[in-house]
Amino acid sequence: MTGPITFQLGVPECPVDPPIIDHFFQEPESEAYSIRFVPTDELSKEETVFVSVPLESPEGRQIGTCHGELSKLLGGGRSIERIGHGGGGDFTFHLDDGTWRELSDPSFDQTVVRRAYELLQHMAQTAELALRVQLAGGTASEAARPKVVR
Amino acid sequence: MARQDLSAIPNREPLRRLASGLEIARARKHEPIDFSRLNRNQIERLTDKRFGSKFLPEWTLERLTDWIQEQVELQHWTPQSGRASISTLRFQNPWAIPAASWRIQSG
Repeated sequence: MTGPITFQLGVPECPVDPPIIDHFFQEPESEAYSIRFVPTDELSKEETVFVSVPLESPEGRQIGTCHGELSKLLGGGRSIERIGHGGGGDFTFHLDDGTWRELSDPSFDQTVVRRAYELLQHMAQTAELALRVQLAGGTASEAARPKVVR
Repeated sequence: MARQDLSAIPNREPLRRLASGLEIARARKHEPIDFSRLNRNQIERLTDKRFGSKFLPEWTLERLTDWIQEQVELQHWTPQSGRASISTLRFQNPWAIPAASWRIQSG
């Protein structure tokens, strides 16, 4: 049986604005990042959209750099396998040893948290750019054609 | 057999693994909040794109998980790497805020 629901009171601060990473992961057999993100209103009014970004595309390499830095910053030597948005400024990082960390963890130094937000924002902006490129039929390869949910 | 306490499952971890190989993952940002303590502006903010739309309190994690499983099986969804699927279902009653519809999506 489900335990009691914890209700939050009032509206907490939100340190991030769209685009926001909603769910980020790389499937083992795939050469692409699977990214669901909260788009800017300019791109879409939908709550989230999905894009598959090839690892070896310009956008994929940028996202990979951010992913690597986030793993160093938050993973303590372990790689981040998945990132999930929990609403507002709340993010969950799933590590390759099966554990997870929340960005709201008070043990994180605030400098680390701020840098994590910057990296997450950059990843989301790059994902949105990748989707715009794909929708415009730009440089993305046929394999990178958008698997878009709008 | 006793059912698992779904509230102990972390955000974005599987609430249930289906026979097809698909997983129903927890998305904490869509879970109910206590609307009775909030004014209109607060409700609008807490259900916007940054915080996520919310189910009403009668949608427990068990009910939600059972319902998603039923819908996914009805539509014969199977895992497809790097692909997203979406289905929009409309209800007669507004069970989710702010929309009177809910969508299930993979990917």
